Amino acid sequence: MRRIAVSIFIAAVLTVFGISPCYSQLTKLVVSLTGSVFNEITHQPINVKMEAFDANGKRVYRGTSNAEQNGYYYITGLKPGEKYFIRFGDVDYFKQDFEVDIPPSDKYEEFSRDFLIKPKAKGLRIPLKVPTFELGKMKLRAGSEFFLKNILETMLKNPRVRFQVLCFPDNDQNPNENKVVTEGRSNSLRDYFIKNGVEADRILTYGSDQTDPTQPPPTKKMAKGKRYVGPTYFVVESF
Amino acid sequence: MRLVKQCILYALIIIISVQLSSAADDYNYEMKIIGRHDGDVLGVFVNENDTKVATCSLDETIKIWSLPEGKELLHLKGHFGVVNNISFSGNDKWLSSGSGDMTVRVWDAETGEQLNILTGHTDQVIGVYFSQDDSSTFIASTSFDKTVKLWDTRLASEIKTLRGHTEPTNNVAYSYDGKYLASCSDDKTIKIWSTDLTTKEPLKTITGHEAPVLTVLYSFDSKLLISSDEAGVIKVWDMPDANLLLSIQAHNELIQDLSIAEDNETIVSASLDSTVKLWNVKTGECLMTFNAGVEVWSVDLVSDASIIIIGCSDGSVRFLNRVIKKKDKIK
Repeated sequence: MRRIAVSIFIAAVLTVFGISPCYSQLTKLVVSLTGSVFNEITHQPINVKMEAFDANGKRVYRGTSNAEQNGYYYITGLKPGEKYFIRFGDVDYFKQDFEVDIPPSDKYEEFSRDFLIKPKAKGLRIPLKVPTFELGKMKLRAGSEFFLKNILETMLKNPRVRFQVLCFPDNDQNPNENKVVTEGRSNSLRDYFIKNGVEADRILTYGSDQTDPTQPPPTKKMAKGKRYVGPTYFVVESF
Repeated sequence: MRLVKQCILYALIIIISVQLSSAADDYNYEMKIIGRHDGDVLGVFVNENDTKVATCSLDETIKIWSLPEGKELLHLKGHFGVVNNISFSGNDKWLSSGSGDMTVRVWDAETGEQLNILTGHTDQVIGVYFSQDDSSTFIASTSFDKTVKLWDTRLASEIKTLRGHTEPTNNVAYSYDGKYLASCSDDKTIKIWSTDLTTKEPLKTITGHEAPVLTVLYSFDSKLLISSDEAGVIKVWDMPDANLLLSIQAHNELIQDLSIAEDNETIVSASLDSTVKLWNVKTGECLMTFNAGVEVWSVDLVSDASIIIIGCSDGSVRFLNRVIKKKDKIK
């Protein structure tokens, strides 16, 4: 009876002062984040250690994704409307952090999010998924920062790792011109990383005059989203 | 008696030829370039009321044009990559777009303001489709990350990931009754999913295409599903059983886009072989072939098929306007 009276009193005070806490605050409502974790290169589900931190840096979860269940993970006890950081790190994988905004909600919900984690291996080629150069161009196109953010953060969080930026041309028409373009592209990327805090001696560059033998230009017309621009890789030299 | 028979025969021939010529006249179109993007036009989508058409492009932008005039109304910028597809919401208030920058974005279709950026796909987004109900709460998207994702526009958040395709997913469509979602993939299959948020497994996997399936589309009565592939084949399936009704070797090149008229019988296909074709999906008859003279990426039409809008590889947006016959003008 006393508890009810206190609750009514608190609600009345909050109403009087114009403070209207959401339902989730009053009931300590929690939501969950679930999804799968994959190897960024092979796209196979993986076992990897993961932790979740709230905006104050307090750890709220620690566990491992399950490769046998398609890389499944499940984090519960999260507050709606809050920001969390999901941190991955294991012997075989690079340290990577992801920011996740949990949407506001007034009921229990499971939000979905997948993660791709870079494996740690000497000679490993990490492809840049979305081309940051236009056809035949060597200057980073507008908005490239968006696609380079992930690899930049990996470089900054793993300061002992040395990478080579490897660029392939868009066609096999003129090897000399190709060399100029691909070296220009790898230098543009190197400059970008240095400008954003990566030490210069950690980045090597190489521009090829021949197209990528593992991913050659198509010989037939390609469907939407498959236009060919010479690929770029970040090759792990040492760690 | 012989004379009477001859007269009847001639009369029949005349009637048949008049009917044939009238059928051909019904599908006579004239082409007009109404505007341009700075790159290939990859998506075209007409809104519910046939008053606007949106186009998206390799130039990373979206344009909204008036119908039937073809006047450019809005130019939406914000994506950092190729905009692969677009879809108006069922209530015509919003527009969603899917891009090579791995995001789905939601725009106010009236003002052009960018309302939400939905992140979660781990590869470029190829297909996007707004739920066609009045509340237009959900968006479905497909990506080269092999998943289909559902987004809640009120929460601006991903709410469900549908897994099952083994290769990149190309396009997605809601059924107009709101019960189902169809996705197609480079794995040559179409998967049917329930829109019920608790079901995560596909209800059905449709096989039959022998090449990557590039697009899927429900008829307005949700009784037909139409799909096209990289080999230029169109297939028509009855739904929800998914029995194959028709298979047409429709084009000589890949068919990136299809659309259906409100009669639920007439479909239009657009191909990189530079032609646009109208088909009757009940009979498989080709009603019209129009050579645009340039590779055609995308197509949509107004409800009565009087205007067909195509997006081309030279950046042009073109209207094919049905030519009005003299007797129609008198009416």
